[in-house]
Amino acid sequence: MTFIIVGASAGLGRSLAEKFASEKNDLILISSDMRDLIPLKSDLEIRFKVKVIPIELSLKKISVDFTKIIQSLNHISPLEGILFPVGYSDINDVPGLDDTTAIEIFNTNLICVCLIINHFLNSLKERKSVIIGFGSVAAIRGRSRNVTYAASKRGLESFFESLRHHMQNSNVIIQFYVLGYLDTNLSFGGQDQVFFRRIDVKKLSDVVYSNRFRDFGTMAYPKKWKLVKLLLPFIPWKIFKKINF
Amino acid sequence: MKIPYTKNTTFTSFDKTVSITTLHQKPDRTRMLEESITTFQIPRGSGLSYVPASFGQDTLVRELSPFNRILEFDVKQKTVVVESGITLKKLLEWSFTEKLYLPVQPGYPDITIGGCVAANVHGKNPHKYGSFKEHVIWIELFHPKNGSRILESKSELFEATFGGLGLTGIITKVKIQLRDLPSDRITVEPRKVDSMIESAEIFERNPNSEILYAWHNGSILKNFEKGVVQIGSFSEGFLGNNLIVPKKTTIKKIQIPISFWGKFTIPLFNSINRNIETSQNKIEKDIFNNFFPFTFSTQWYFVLYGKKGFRECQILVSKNNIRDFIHDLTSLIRKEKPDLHLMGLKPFRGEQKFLQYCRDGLSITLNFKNSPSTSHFLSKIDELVMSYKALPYIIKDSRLPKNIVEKCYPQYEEFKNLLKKIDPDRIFKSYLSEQLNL
Ligand SMILES: Cc1cc2nc3c(=O)[nH]c(=O)nc-3n(C[C@H](O)[C@H](O)[C@H](O)COP(=O)(O)OP(=O)(O)OC[C@H]3O[C@@H](n4cnc5c(N)ncnc54)[C@H](O)[C@@H]3O)c2cc1C
Repeated sequence: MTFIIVGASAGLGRSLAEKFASEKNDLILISSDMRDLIPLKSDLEIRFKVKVIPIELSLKKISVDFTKIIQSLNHISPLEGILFPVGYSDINDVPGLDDTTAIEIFNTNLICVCLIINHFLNSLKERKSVIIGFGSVAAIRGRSRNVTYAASKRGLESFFESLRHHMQNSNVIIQFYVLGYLDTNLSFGGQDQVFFRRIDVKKLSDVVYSNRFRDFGTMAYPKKWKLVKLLLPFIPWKIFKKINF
Repeated sequence: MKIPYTKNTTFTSFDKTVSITTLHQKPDRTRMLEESITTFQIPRGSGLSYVPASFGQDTLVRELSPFNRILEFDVKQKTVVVESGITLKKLLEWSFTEKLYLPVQPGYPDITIGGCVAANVHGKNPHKYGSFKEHVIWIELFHPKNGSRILESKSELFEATFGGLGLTGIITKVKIQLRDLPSDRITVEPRKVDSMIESAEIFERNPNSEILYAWHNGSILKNFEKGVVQIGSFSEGFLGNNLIVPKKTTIKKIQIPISFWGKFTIPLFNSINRNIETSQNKIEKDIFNNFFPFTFSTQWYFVLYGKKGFRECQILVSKNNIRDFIHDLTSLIRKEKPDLHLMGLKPFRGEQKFLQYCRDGLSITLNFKNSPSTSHFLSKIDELVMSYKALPYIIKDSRLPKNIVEKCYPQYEEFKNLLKKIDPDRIFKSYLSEQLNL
């Protein structure tokens, strides 16, 4: 079976690619830089003897060119799922951000994800399959940092909720993970605090793989973030405005 | 120049004698790796060197662990192209499935191929298989100022990069020649020996064993020089389809305040160990266990040195000096009574170039508790090494003085000149390179 992984070249995407390939799934890997995808393709094909098709595609701009993905699907085993471990943030992402960066953040984190799902939804309906989205705890309640990013991820969560509602009687399972801080290069310079201890992407990939056909809707990962997700919206503004995280 | 995705990290040499906090980057995308960063920098593999070779003061440490993929495999030629951050463990896990293996395996599974090249490491019988460079067809080297280039075996920069301690640039890809793996087990025949000369004689009689090394008790209090020679060869056929790999291979981070190893514990432990190891005539173990003995209970050996750590020096003595050297060394030990724990022996072969630790002869490793008396004793060893024009293994001895390396490595100056030629600004440097004035 084939899974499409959007944002596969590094971090969580790469780790998911390794996990799904190790379980003998074929893969279509999408990312903006072929120089990272080709080594990954070779590695997975050599080690796990699966078929991997790399596709260079930047999600920063719309519209999305689907031709390469469609062509690839003709040369690989049937599609069983699409995963979106894709994310793009910018350290300057505060209100007043320049148009280009703001649009790129919206496109990568939200709009292109929605467009890809819309495009492949019908073909996924044909058999038991899964669409997995990844949100962020940054989107629970807006702060003055990662403003556009958080807004996109909040929008994405809403899109996935609607999607699940719409697909309830179909073969397609819709999952959405609200993730705490990941241990990837994007967080490399960050502080590591006990509560915010970074998620090991390898462990997370194992969880995602073993959950892949469970219809749980939205899940906070690690679980302790569920509490934060519940409580954070109720913290009075007077206190919330003073919290720096 | 602000370098993105960096943090300050405290790095410590494996022997625990040097610690430094400096800027740390772990590029995971090609564009990050190939960014034209021209500040002082040093590549890092797994940081398992005994010496501070992959970090330095005010030096950007560029850790290559995410570049750990297998890029090409030629079944017929039995060659593989890998990224330099791949560990021996990952490579062996895969190559096992193809019934192939890399015959030169330094003792710890998390060591990277980049680290193997940059130290020109050796395995369990360097006489049979030589050093790491003999199993490499080409390497790709990246220098922020000169870009990427492929270096074929035997070219000048290829030779300088083997044992080059990361100073010639970042090794990005390595093409390796693998060999057929005859079995998933190795049968070892341990033999009790009473002296190092006896071990050297056994080595001469068994040059083609897969595994050939010895250890000897270093304490002069009791049983000095008594030891065990390990002679191993592949068993027949395969018992299983999977390589037996322990779940966790990372070295223990536990710290005990003082060293457990002392005047009485050392001879006691060594004599118990000697009796246990030789209690059976033949011991069959899986290959992982044989290649990487330090993954298992043996890693406690390092932990028990305590927070002050340990010192190791490894010396390669030319073939015709072996007897005299051993005689002078044992006399010196008897006279100075150092905190010496173990002495390890391996037979060696190879053509020495630049800073590579290889030549025809015998390699002798000495392990000590880190103490002022050890430093004093090691300075005596330095004199002995110089008088025999022996080679000290740079990657093992973090206190090695510059003048010893300068005198013992015939191409020390040529190595430095080559570095200046490829980069007059010398952006690659480490604590070790500064200490050795490289
Ligand atoms: C338990 C144990 C057993 C060992 N047994 C042996 C043995 O049997 N034989 C032996 O020869 N050695 C042995 N060693 C030493 C070890 O093989 C070397 O120190 C090796 O270099 C460590 O590799 P690393 O990946 O940890 O590299 P690091 O320690 O991170 O770096 C070592 C050197 O390699 C350079 N380097 C690393 N990656 C690159 C790269 N991609 N490009 C350019 N330069 C790079 C660094 O700059 C540094 O100079 C042993 C070490 C341990 C801890």
